[in-house]
Order: sequence, then C-alpha cells, then structure tokens
Amino acid sequence: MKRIKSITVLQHFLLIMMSIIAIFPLYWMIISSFKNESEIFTSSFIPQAPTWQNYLYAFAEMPIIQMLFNSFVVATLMTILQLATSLLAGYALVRWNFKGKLLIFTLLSLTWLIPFQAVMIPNYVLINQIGLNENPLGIVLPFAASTFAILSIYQSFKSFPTALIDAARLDGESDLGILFRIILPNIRSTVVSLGIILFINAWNEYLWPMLVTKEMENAPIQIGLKSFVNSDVNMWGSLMAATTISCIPILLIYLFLQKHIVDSFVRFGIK
Amino acid sequence: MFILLLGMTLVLSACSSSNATTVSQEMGELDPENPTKVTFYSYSLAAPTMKEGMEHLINEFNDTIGKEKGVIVEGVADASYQQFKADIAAGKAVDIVQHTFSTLDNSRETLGFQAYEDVFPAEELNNHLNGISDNALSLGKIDGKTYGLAFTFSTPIVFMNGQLFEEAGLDPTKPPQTWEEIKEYSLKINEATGKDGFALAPDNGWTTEGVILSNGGKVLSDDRKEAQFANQESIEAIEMWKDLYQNGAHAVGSDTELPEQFMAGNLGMYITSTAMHSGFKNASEAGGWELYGAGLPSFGNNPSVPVNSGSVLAVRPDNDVKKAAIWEFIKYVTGNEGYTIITSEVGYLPLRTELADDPNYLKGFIEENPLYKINLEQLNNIQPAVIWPAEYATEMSDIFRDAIVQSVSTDADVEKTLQAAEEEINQLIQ
Repeated sequence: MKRIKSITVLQHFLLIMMSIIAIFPLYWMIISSFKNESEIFTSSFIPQAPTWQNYLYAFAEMPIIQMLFNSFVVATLMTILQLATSLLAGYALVRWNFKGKLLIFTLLSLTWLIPFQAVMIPNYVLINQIGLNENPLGIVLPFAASTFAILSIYQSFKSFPTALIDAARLDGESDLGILFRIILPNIRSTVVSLGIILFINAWNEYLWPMLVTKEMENAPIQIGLKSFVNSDVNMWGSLMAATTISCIPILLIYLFLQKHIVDSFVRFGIK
Repeated sequence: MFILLLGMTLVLSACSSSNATTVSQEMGELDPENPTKVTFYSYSLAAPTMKEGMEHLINEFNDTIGKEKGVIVEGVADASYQQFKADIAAGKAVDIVQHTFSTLDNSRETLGFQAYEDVFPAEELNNHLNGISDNALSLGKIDGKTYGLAFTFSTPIVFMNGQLFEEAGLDPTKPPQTWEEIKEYSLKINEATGKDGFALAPDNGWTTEGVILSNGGKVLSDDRKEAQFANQESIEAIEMWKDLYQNGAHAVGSDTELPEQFMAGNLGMYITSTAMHSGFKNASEAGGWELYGAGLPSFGNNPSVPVNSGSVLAVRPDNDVKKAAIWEFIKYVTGNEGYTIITSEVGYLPLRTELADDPNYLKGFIEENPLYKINLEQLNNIQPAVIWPAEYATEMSDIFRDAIVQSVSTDADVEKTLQAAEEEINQLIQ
C-alpha cells in the first residue's frame, strides 16, 4: 500500500515538473511582454515596473489584427487544400490499380526529400506571372498538396479493412461515396490530428509568405514577428507582446477543442 | 543548410536573368508629367527601429525632388536580403538595393549590379561626391570602380556603463584609450562589482578586422587575391584579445547575447556598432544608469583603425531614363537632406561630416547625442571592411569568423589556427 502511494506521489511529481516545463515558456513570454527595456534582460519572475509600452509599440508598428486574420485565412485554406488533395491521392493510391502507380508513389516519396527552398524561385516566377503577388492564394497554391499528408493518409487507408469497402461497393457506392461515407467517418481522428499538424505548419510558414507579400497589410503574422528581430537591435519586449497577442486565437481554439484535439492525437499515436 | 541552398538557388536562377546590361553614361530625359518609377529594396525598411526614418527619407524625396523632376520611388522592405535576389530572378525591376558590404562582389558578378562610373556621367558623379571623404568613398569600390556608394554607415565604439565605472572608482568621462587600459579597467570593474568588465564578441566578424588593422596587420591583400591574416601583427592582435578574454573579466557570449548583457546593466564596457546606440540609450534610461562611449582602443601609441559596418547603394538601371531617375534619388539620399534624416532618424553616421557643424542640419542633434562625435572622429582613420572575393564570399567570411572564435575562446594555438584558416581561404580563392 505504502509502495503504491510512493509511486503515485512520484508520478504526480513528474507530471507537475513536466507541466511546469511546458507552461514556463508561455509564462516567460507573457511577463517579458510587460517588462521595460532594461528589465527585459533580467531574470525576475514578476515585472518590477509593469508597462504596456511594448503592446502600444507593437500595435503602432504593424496591423497585428489584420496580420492575424491573414495568417488564419492562409493556414485554414492551406489545411483544407492539403487534406482534400491527400484524401483523394491516398484513396487512389491504395484502392486503384493502374500503370505507373509505384512510380508515382516513389516520386511522391522522393519529393519529400527536396526542400521547398530548392523550388522556391521557379514557384515565385510563376506566381509573379499569374499576378498572385500580395494575395493569400499566392501563398497557398504552392502548398496545396503535401507529401507528408498524402503519405500519412496512405498509411491510414492501407490499414482500413477492405471487406467494408467491398461491401459498400456491392451496395452500389461510388468511389467518392466510399471515401466520404465509409472511410472518412472511421478515420476521423487521424484526419483531425493531421489537420492540426498541417494548420500549425501553415501558421508557422515564414520564408515563402515573406517573398510573396511586401506589404504588412497582406502578410501573415510571422513576418511581423520576425521584424522585431534584426541584425542591429532585437526588440524582445515588443516581440513578446506581439507573440502573446498572436497566441491568443490559437489558445482559444485549443481551449474550446481541447478534448477533441487530445483524443485525436492519442488515436493518431496508437495507429 | 537551407539558407546555403537558398542562396545557391537564387544566384543560379539570377545568373540567367540579369537584365541590367546598360553600359553607357548617357542619361535620358525625365518627365514630371509621366513620372518614372524606381524600386528601392531596403533592409532598414523591415526593421521597426529604422522603418519610420527610412520611410520619411523616401516620402520626402517623392514629395520634393521626385515631384519636381518626375521620379517616384517605391520602397520594398527586404528583411533577409533575399527579396531583391528573388525579384531579379523573376525578371522584376530591381533598381536600387541597400546592399551589405561583404557580399557585394558576389552580387556584382551574378546579379547585374553596375559600377557608378559606367552608368552615371563623370562630371555629375564628381560634383556630387565632393564633400564625402575619400575613405568613405573607397568602401564600396571593387577593382577600382564604385559598385556601391556608402549609404547607412557606422563604426565600432566602446560603449560604457557609467554606474559600473563609478562603483569601480573609475571616471567614465576619462575612458580607456588603449587595449592595456581596457584590460586594467575591466579587471577593476570585475573586482569591485562582480560583473563582467568588458566584452567584444569573438563572432562579431567585422570589428575583428579593426583590431587586426590597428596593430598593423592585414586581413586580405589589396588585390583581394590572398588572405593575409596569419601575419605576425594579426597574430599578436588576436593573442592580445585572447589574453583579455581569458583574464576572468571578459563576458562570455555571442554577438547576439552580449548586447543583452550590456543593456541589462551587467557589463562595464562593450565594443559594437554605433547602430546599437538608440537601443542602449533607451535601456540605460530605463535602468537608471548613464551611457558613455569611447573610440576603438589602440595598441600603444599607434592610432586605432576601425572598419565600417552598414550598407551601400548598389544600382542596376535598365535604360537611360531609369538611370536619370535613380541618380536623382541617389543624389538626394546621400546629400545634405538625406544624411540629416539618416543620422537623426535612422541612427547612422553622416558621411558628409561638415553637416555635424551646420546648424541647418545636424549641429543640434550631435550636441544632444555626443557619442556621434566619437564616430565622426573615427572616420578619419577608417578602412573598408573586407569584401571577400565573389564566388565563395560567404564561405570565406565564415572560415575567418570561426578561426577567430576558436583562437580567442578556446585553448587552440592562435598562430596555427589562423594559418590553417588562411590556407583554406587561399585555396578557395585559387
């Protein structure tokens, strides 16, 4: 009995420590956003002379709300497109037998090894030619399909029981019907957790949006955040203030969808 | 790795798309009724501390000379120095670029930037450059031609925390002049306050060149065909720094960490670019201590030889009318009005030093910010920072910086480390 109690205490201690490790960066970001230019470099855990100056400066320097909105639009569009293309490609690669299937799968896998920076300039030239500069579509289109997403979905489809699909086909279901009415409801947690990962990746995208957008009003928030850090002066206080504001929408989404998100990740992990 | 790959991709892509091929000094006629648009790519436009001043500079031009002559300048923020390369590759008009010194040669060869002497009339050029010191004019010269006209510009100085000086019984109005005094003062500050007395980041890159030159050493030969930083004078200079670094009073940290230590009030003296002045001033006011400054220390009685950091204006006009438009903007921003805005609102030095004594321009500002005087005095001895030869400029710069970091901050033998790095760079040059 005593041994079980000790193990429980130890488990709780470890969980508390891990929670502190996870929460501390957020706490540090928030308190740093209220420190003045001198205090920001000290290790005080509570601001000695709290100031709103960093927030005022951040709002004065850039249209933060507009940039957050841009980020949201870009990340949402990118996630939807990547999920749609990966579902269709994954289904075709698993369920259909056609010539060159292995070649396509191999090429897809190989493109994962090519960094985006290597194909960025041809993409940029194309985006310029079709006049999508300063446009969210210009940011989104080159990322409309993701090899990572296709391969993730492919693995889920492969483990889906073929008997169910054959039964649906006997019932007269089309391919799209099988995909959206039979398979998708059963791999929902995989798709949701993949969607979250894709959304976070899209939210954090920096280099490509920086090339496509020149005006702050059209750029996602990451461009604005980076502008507080440059070769001469790093404006940590304002950076922390802007980062705190930019975290709020994501934190709110997480608070509302906490149960689903955790559940999805657990299931995604088990698979 | 990604940045390297990106750089190579940009350069390769741009090789085939350099469209600035005009080599004539003729300039076309500007028409105020049909203004010519000029693009100006600037990293200062992407930095919050400089953005407002740089925008003011562009708007002031557009509202005055630009309107009168028929030129509209469009500023493009270029935070990572990649936008202009991508736009050149995409075939867009990239007319003027605020370019850093170290990779100018690379851009000249691969991105179609042109020499001022090749595109602007000699008489116009000479008239305008009159009043800028020869030292400053030599900064953007490659093979005897001006591929970049010095624009935003700073030198390294010793920033000092007055409070720590006083706590150590030192007078901040009598700053250290030599490296021996730097060592002496740093040990006193460390002993009295327990805080670090001095710092010069081993990975700073450009200030290192000033330390070497001040002891009579050299980094790169004049014809830029041979690295020469393993000579006796250079080795002695780096050994002096190593001694300083290992005496227990030198702060440990990188070029991005040490400014933060200084702003937190934990560092007695710190050598860095005057571009940091506004940030340090704000931090000192918020922290309740006084900020002082001094010139780059010397070796004994030999005058110190600082090098510059900052940027040049590199140009790539693609027709005669564009040339005229670009020239109007260049003249304005490197003229009296331009440098008044650059110094008072962006934070860099006026290369037209007489403006500092002119009550119509910068006299009042310099009196309020006396640290700028130290910089202006240093302009007399300034030497250009090294422009590494084109193809492997970034690699060479990295090898040099890494060798200095290893020499200063580890137990590695200075002479052997510098010789190995020099040999490696010379092999790349060949």
